[in-house]
Amino acid sequence: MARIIVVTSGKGGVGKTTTSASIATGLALKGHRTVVIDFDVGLRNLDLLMGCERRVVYDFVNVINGEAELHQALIRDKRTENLSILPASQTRDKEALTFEGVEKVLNLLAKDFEFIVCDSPAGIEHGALMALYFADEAIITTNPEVSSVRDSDRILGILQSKSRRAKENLEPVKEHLLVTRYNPERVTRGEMLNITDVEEILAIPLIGVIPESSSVLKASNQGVPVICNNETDAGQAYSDVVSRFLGENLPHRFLEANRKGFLQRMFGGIG
Amino acid sequence: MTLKLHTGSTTAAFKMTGSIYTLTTLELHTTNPADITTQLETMTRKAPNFFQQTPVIIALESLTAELTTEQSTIDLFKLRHSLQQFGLYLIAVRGGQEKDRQAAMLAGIPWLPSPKQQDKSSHQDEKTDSNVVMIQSQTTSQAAKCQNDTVQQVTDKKTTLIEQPVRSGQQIYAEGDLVITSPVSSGAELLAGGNIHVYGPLRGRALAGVNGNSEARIFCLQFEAELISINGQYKMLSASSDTDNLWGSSVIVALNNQSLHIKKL
Ligand SMILES: Nc1ncnc2c1ncn2[C@@H]1O[C@H](COP(=O)(O)OP(=O)(O)OP(=O)(O)O)[C@@H](O)[C@H]1O
Ligand SMILES: [Mg+2]
Repeated sequence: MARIIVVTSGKGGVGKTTTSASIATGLALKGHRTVVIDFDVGLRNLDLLMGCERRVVYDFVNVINGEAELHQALIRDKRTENLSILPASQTRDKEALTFEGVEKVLNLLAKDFEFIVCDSPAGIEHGALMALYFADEAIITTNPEVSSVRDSDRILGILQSKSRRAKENLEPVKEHLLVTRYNPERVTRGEMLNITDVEEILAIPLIGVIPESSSVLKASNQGVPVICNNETDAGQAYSDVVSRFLGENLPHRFLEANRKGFLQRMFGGIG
Repeated sequence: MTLKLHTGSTTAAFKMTGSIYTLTTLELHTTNPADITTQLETMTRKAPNFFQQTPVIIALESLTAELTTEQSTIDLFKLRHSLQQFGLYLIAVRGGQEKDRQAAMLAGIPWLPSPKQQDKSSHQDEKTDSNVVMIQSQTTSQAAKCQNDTVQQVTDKKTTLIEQPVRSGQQIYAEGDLVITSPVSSGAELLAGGNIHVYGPLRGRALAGVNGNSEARIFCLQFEAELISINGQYKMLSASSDTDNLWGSSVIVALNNQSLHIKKL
């Protein structure tokens, strides 16, 4: 059975698309047949982050409407084996996604892929609901600030009440907390919540912490998911997340402010 | 071309469902607009954001006969306007006399009958305390069983047990006692006809005794509530308010002599 994973947050701009691109790539790098779907109809972004925007001919909505076959719309990733992208349409609105249509496409994909990663749009309206409705697992992407945590809490409530698993009284959607854009210096200065605060409020298991890193923007400008740059902190943090998702038990990294730099400057040369 | 595509063959223009909402009710003790405005000013000064776009009902049951003589009829147009300046939207008028019903009709405001004429004496008591805003759950008999997913209506009069976290935006209503064994997030709301017990942090709103029970109490293990209320008497809270020595501890909230008492457990 394919596992359907939604990457969602409520709040916009917290790193959902960055996370979807890296997690899907990471799963494929580990040898799992994976497809990542852009549910952000009207604002497609995922294809840019994956560096395949020029190869988009047909999209998710075309397949739903029967205007194209699934295999015509799927884009095989050039860099990573086992990875495909189903892009969103830029010219439609989110209402073009229907329960029946999305279900039909997911069922077709489930025949060929082990993991289906759904990149949700922001908000709690139709588009976000469509992205999470069929999910088996959810990666709740949260920035360490009050408004983002509150929105994540909201989304968790919706997963509990409005997802297919809730409606059909199945085992609940498995929830994972991913804190992104974590900046230890700002936490120390009290400008951001710390991980314990976020975990305490949301009360779901932590799957990873992605540091705020300039490598993310650099990677997205190049159209390369940051997980491919395994010398970067964010890339390594995403690799850890994928391993944990697949069951490995790894300690969390990048939680502490990097005091070494400062000390080295002070005592450089000694010892 | 902006044709909308529907995959279903027939699409209903709307679906009608019944819902139960908690509404703020202003029980008027005067028809003097200046007095009403003054009190609203005092309240919004303390909590400027509390009334952002809040729908309200004004209830006229507490007005005594001499206050509602011909010359002192409330000007609903004026009242609606001044409420709006504080972020309150008048959506209905409740109770009063025949002339009030007609005035509401003229102003285009829905009129509701009084709920089961609650014991008059308690209303009389409230007149002595003019700083009361009644928050009551409008469980009108016509309201159909709630279809909204975020509102879980539970009809067991005895005890309702909720084991999952109650998240922001969710509302739980229990006719009897409500027992929660998980955290209640800020932005979540608990309503119970009876007592409310939270065996975890209470960060949202908790309204006990909503159907007129002053004996109801609220218990919680970690008190960080945004608002607590028993039978309509409410208190808004924050870490820096006068309850800060209780913040985060286990407390019991009870209503004594029309005021809320919060005590460490
Ligand atoms: N760990 C990080 N460090 C620094 N910048 C980041 C990080 N994660 C994301 N960003 C930046 O934040 C911005 C938003 O990221 P992204 O598009 O992934 O968010 P989103 O949640 O998908 O947004 P939307 O809600 O608009 O779909 C981008 O500019 C991205 O480069
Ligand atoms: Mg996005």
